[in-house]
Amino acid sequence: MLVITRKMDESITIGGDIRVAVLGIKGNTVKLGIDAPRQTPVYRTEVYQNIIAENLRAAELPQDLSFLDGHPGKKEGA
Amino acid sequence: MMSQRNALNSNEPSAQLLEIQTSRFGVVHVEADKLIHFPEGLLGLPDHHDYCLLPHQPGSPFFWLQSVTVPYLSFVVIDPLLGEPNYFDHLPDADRQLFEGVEDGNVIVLALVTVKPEKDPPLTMNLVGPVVVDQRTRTARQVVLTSTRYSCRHPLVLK
Repeated sequence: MLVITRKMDESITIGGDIRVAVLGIKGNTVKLGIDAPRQTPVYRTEVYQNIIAENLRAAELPQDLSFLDGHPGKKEGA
Repeated sequence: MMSQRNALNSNEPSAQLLEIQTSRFGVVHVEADKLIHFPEGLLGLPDHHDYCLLPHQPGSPFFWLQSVTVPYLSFVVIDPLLGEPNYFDHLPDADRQLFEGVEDGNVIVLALVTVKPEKDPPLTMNLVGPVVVDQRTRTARQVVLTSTRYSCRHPLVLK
């Protein structure tokens, strides 16, 4: 991994069209601003990984799908 | 509230029928122009680009997103508004942009459903990473909300 030290209001440029700026630093939290083309998705890494994991879980379907009988709605009495 | 037109069940006449092998349904026939192409695949499954939508059962709110090339690769999907009617409300502008075209019926949104009988609740849907299908181009992608309002395992309750 390339490691670069940046100060507040400084940024890095990735390729020709992505810029990541340090907008704020507070305690152990860094606020980043990202300029990227619309077709370049930007994800929080843990969210991205959660979705990958959930996709793989969703692809593992049980043989018995009787759980799918019915329609969405609140449980009776709820 | 945005609404999704009932586009999943459209029955326009179509041309060529493709034969698709599936583990769960055996051989099914799908109209060639009803295939859905994912240029980037689903997240974590970047090598699988082509799927079709099959109804679960007559009258069921569920559909199957079935790979055209891998018989055992399929997902249960649902219109997320059926389980979470306010899904599109209160989203930041960045996320609303992901759903452009929903209101005029050009785009449909599907949530992947996870079925785990041993869990409570057994049914959850992924509201952070919905699938957005552009019906005009028959292309789709799995988008990721920036909002932290929803989870990958949003309870889906059936009655």
